[in-house]
Amino acid sequence: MKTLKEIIEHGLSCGADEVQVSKALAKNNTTAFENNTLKTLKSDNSAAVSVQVIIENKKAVVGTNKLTDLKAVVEEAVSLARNSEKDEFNSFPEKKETVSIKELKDDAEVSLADTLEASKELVNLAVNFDSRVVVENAEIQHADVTSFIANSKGVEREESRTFASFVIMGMATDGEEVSAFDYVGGKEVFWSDLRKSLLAKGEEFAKGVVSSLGAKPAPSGKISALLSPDFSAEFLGNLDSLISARRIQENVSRFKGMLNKEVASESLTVADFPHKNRSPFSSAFDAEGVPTQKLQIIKNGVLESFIYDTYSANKEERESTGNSFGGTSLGLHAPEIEGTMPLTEMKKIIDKGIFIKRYSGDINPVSGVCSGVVKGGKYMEKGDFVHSVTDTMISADYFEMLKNIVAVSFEREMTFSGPMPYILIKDIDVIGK
Amino acid sequence: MEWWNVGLMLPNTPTRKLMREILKELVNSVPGVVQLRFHERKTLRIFMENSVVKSLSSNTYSGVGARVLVNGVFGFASTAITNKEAVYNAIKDAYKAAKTGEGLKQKFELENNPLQGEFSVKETRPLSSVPFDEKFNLVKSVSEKLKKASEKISNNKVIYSEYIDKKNIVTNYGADAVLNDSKSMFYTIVAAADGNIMETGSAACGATGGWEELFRNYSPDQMVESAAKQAVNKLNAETVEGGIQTVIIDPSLVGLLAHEAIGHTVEADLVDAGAVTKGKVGQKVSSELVTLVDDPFPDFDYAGAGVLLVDDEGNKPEKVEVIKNGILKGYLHNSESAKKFSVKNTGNARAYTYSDEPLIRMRNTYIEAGDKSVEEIVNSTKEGVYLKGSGGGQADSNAEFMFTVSEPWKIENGKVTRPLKEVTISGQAFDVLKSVDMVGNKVLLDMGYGHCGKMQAARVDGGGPVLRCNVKLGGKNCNQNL
Repeated sequence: MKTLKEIIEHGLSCGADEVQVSKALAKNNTTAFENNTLKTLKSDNSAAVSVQVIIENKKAVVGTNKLTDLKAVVEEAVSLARNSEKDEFNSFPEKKETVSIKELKDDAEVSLADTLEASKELVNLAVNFDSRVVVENAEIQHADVTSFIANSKGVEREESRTFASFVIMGMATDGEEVSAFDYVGGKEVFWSDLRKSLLAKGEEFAKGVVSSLGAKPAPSGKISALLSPDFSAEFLGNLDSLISARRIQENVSRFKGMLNKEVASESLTVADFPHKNRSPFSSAFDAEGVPTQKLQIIKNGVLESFIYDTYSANKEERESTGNSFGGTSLGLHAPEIEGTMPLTEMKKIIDKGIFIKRYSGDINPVSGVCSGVVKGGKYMEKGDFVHSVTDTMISADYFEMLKNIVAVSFEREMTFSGPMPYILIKDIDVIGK
Repeated sequence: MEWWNVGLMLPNTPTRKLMREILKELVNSVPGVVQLRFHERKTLRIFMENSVVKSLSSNTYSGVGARVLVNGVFGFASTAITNKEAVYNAIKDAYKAAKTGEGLKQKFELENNPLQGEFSVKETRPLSSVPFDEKFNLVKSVSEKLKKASEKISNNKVIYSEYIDKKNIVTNYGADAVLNDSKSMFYTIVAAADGNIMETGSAACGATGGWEELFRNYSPDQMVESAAKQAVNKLNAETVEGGIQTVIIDPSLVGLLAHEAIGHTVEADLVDAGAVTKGKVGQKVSSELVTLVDDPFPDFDYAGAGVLLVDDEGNKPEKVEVIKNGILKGYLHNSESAKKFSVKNTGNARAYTYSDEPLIRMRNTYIEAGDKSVEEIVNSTKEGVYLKGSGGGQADSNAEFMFTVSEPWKIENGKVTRPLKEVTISGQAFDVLKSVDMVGNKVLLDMGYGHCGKMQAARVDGGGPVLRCNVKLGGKNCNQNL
């Protein structure tokens, strides 16, 4: 933190009106398998510093991984900012108290040998399940990260945390037939939690790819779609740009003017809750050092809040909600989706439908076009899986899909965006046979 | 002082010459095969939205990646500190990492074709010599022109980004190469609105080389016109009819098909894992009108964004004929896979940053020219869709792909008649290539503005001539409920 303060002082002495500095130090151990066998063991330490300055409302950012002479970086940022243009809404945030979140750092020492052992176990679980399984890539990483943010208005944040993550991807092959490509992944704070979850994940991946062998196109028609937690994460992830105050202010969100109005079915309730203990998705402060908060976004289909960073908040003379992800990007840290019924009950209300494990396609949150290919999917009738599908596309309007949500499962499964439910949506165009 | 002249090679950082000497001195410091790569990258990004600066940033990072092969296992470590002691420690860490996995794999050899010397991409006007103000003002003027292009334009974003790379690659099997590379990208995206209907349009270009190379195919004014028209045209457009249709695809989509749907299935690491092309060399996999190559330095366009003069194992990149007149001829290799497949190394090993391990990646992947003009192809198509503009896509190892088409047009009675809404297309890429019955006579590399993501980013390019084939469109189709 002392270095950061020195950088800020130097920036101010160079003529900057405001200075913000962030620094991240990371130690990573990674083991990678390729084609069922060990590929590489990787160990590295990384560092990154980013200096932002504002001079006469003109802003610039300069980054480096060199910690040896940061004065030159500050001078470059000052020089770059002088060449920019004024924007009265540029500023860095004021100092505010943050909450304390417990168990974001695991003190266990995790070596390269530990990640290797876990990777071997994961890959063996998959390939021993069925000889047709091919693990194209599997990677386990343990990262120990410390991040700092300080600015000339007194903000001083420091957070040390650990991330233990894995991904396993590949397919099943049977003679000439190659199944749909699939992957399973997850992230935890504690190494012991990751080790526990791996026991089920290798087999889950293997079952998924083997069951997609022998697939055929689904019948075409307008039917229901059951979204897997992975696809639910992607589907709801598009809300980020619709609720971003920057997108609202720039006239590229159709949620503009929709506050306190119905934007989705009453089955959809979404909140951001980044203060859960022992969660890799929790954070006490955002990329600008602003405290994060619990925020109700959609309640029973009604839009209750937009998300702000300091820049967009300045435009409306209000406070940031702490949702900056750096640069112009805003998003939810840890979305929580309320369930409406058990998964078994959801399946029972499907007369004809399609289960979508993974979606390879486009969702355009501006135009609403949602069109793409179903991966690892299953055609369903009367609540049961009938057959695996391939060569099958879906087409729908994103805004209609939000309004056509029939139910959200109570059950949650880990995705790269955190725990997510299954979502049932009616009236989706399916293009198969 | 101009901002780009501020001392970025920091005082205690060795010069590149000294760096090369350090790498050469240390390359034999541990047993096994050793690859050392110093990489310094300087980036600039200017982003404006509706003529207001939203982000102005510059980054400089550098370091050394050390990769050691011991008894069949690769160990990799990297350091951002570029003095002799730190580099030595990284080599030792890579060696220790490899030893951790000892016994888990059988020993293997590498097939190398190492290069020595200095290699620089062609820059008619080097990016580093173009004043910052010129870049900044261009972004500003394009944003202003987009705003004025139509009263229906509600938003526009314009991004210029560049990176300038300097590398030293030294190995203990004979590589001692110095590489000077630069790549840039210019991107415009607009939104148009009419009541509650909103549509997007985009135009972009990318290149290896300098300022003139970046705008060699499209001028900024052409991009303004193209992006704005695309968004406005789609406001009142119909949704495409779903199902299999005859389509004409433009070079950007041909490039995406060549790269994403075919190219990945011939990367030897994926072939080894069971990609659909495994064991099919010598077999007919497409229409005989199709010849597809992956080319590190195309003779018809030296500025493709995927130009590669030295690969990241220090080997010579070779042009690869993947499909010749419909017959699968070969795969893309690094030193490990070339030995395993008993073929020549094609020099496809690439790493995005110093801290990334080299993987098999494509360069410029394209289909070669045929003999038909675009007019001949359109005129002979009674009914179909002209698919223009790539919005990105994905494909699996079984060659099943999904691409977003940003600008589809209806073809009726041999004429392009009206715009349609954005659509995705899908199919099995080899089946699509088997259906190719007409190939245009002019090749264009037209997807150099993006990155390919296979565990790590890589700048690639792709293209080809206009093709006519059959493909499945994900539009509205349902005349009946099931």
